Amino acid sequence: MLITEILNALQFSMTLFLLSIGLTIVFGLMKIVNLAHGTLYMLGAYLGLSIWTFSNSFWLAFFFAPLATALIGAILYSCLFKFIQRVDPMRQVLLTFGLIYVGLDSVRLLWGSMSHSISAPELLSNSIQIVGETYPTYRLFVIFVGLFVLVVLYFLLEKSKMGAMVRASVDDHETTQMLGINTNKILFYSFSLGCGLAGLAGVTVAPIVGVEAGMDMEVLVLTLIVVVVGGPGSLKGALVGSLLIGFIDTFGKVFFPELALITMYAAMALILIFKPDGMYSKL
Amino acid sequence: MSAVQYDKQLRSYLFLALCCSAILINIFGDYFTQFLLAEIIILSLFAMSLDFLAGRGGMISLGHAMFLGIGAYTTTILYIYLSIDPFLCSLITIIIGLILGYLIALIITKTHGIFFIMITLALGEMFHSWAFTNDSLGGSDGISGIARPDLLFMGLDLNEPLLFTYYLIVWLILSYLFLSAITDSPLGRNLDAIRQNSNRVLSLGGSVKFYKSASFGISSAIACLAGSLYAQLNGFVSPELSHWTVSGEGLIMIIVGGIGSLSGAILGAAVVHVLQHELSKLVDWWMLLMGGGFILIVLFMKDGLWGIILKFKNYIMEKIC
Repeated sequence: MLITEILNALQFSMTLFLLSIGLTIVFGLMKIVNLAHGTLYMLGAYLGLSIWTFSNSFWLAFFFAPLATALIGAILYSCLFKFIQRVDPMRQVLLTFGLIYVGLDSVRLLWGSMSHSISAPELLSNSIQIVGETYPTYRLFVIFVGLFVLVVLYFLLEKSKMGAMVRASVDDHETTQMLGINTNKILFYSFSLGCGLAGLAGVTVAPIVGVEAGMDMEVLVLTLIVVVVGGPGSLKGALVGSLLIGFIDTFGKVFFPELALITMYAAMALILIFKPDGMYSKL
Repeated sequence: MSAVQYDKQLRSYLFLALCCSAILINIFGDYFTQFLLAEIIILSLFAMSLDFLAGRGGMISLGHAMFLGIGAYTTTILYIYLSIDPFLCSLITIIIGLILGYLIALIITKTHGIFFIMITLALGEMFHSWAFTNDSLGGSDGISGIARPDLLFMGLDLNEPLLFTYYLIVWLILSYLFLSAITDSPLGRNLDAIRQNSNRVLSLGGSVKFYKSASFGISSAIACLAGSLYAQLNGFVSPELSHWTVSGEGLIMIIVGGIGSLSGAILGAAVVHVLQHELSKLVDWWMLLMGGGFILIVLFMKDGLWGIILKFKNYIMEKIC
């Protein structure tokens, strides 16, 4: 029982991590809170659904849906986000709020308002025994995907030259520009990467939670909470925040089922009252 | 967030025009038009409270629908469990909203910008999930059986849509007068100063925290009133009323109308609600149109409809003089 719950919490945390990392990098670089991030997660799931029904292969969906979402992110950046950087920050937030409506209805138009499901690949559709408790293999796979992305991102951001440039422009945009680094290019790639990761989260959890038109909203609020609790713009914050929220939510549901959703929001409100800028803020 | 250019005269003229058209529509409209009008007036109250908070106080709240919910549920509890007169319920609700808003703001005005938005969002969602899981208040199904105020002693039956809409218009006028009086008062001036530079106000000896909390309390009181009237209009409350997308729609309304112009918020509420209503009849993908239109307004019409009216007025003034 306990191990199952811990693994469930870990799986939830890893999904949140995949979602929040894109949002937090975009916030750090552009100081924009992209409310349409949940929409990209939904798009990832739907694109995965289409590829899956078309080719009948989960793995094709798993690899190409995130790429397609990243492409959509790249288009969004070059058509919209590139031009609104000088606009008042609140206006940017509201603009992305408008995108939620557009995304939701586009998905309804293209895929219909029925909910769909994707089945996990055969290799991962069974359960395995962990210390006397059975646990579905697919959920372990989700944890593995999250950990894999974490390690890759760590090396990409902390050890590579590109990562150094990204961190520099998060810390000080103008100075980085003066050093001759093309920050627009960095923004473009980071934004697309963030969107691609949201798409990856969407297609990865699709076999667990299904694919439906309202899935973006639930996840958006959770992701925003993680980012705000962890401190926008920080990789460490995103990781710690998602673990914290993932565990608080899962164990809150186990111990206080009647307060199910409230525990998480209360935790966030408490953290913000004592640390108004989040735990590892880069602002 | 910057508010629109301040024009007291235009504000009152626009309000007068809107009120007159509301009364005309009420007289000549059929049952459904009157109901739609009643909904618009309640949304206008909500939009005005949000407009005051965002435009004067500089605080963008994504959880303001919580106060709609608090108002509606307080009215329900007072009426159903304590059987207090419905009119008195609305008055008590306003006071509860004022106090609650002030107390909440004392804590949350510590945060700024995006963090303020997030903490209001969290509070709003907390209330929403509490109402959603609370069985004694009907849970996710909501609760019904709320009566409208009884003015039969004056010979007015408020169950008549025509008269109830008049009743709502009276509340709208009162709230507008109240909010515009505050906007023009020293408190309103202080809020303007805080929005532009809160540190300077602090160094001049102004209590930023008190002014901000007071304006939050006033705004929540109006939102609670809107919630209370909404419960009486429908005779029914559900947790959906306090969902954060309702706050988002409120923000859309004030952006369309022009932030910081009280009567612009009413215009915005009317335009957005009518468009929603009409577009959803015409096409299935009305949300796509609305979202797209909203993005265009944010991008290209900084002051919303208010900006257009102001430009038009200045153009005419130039022609005359």
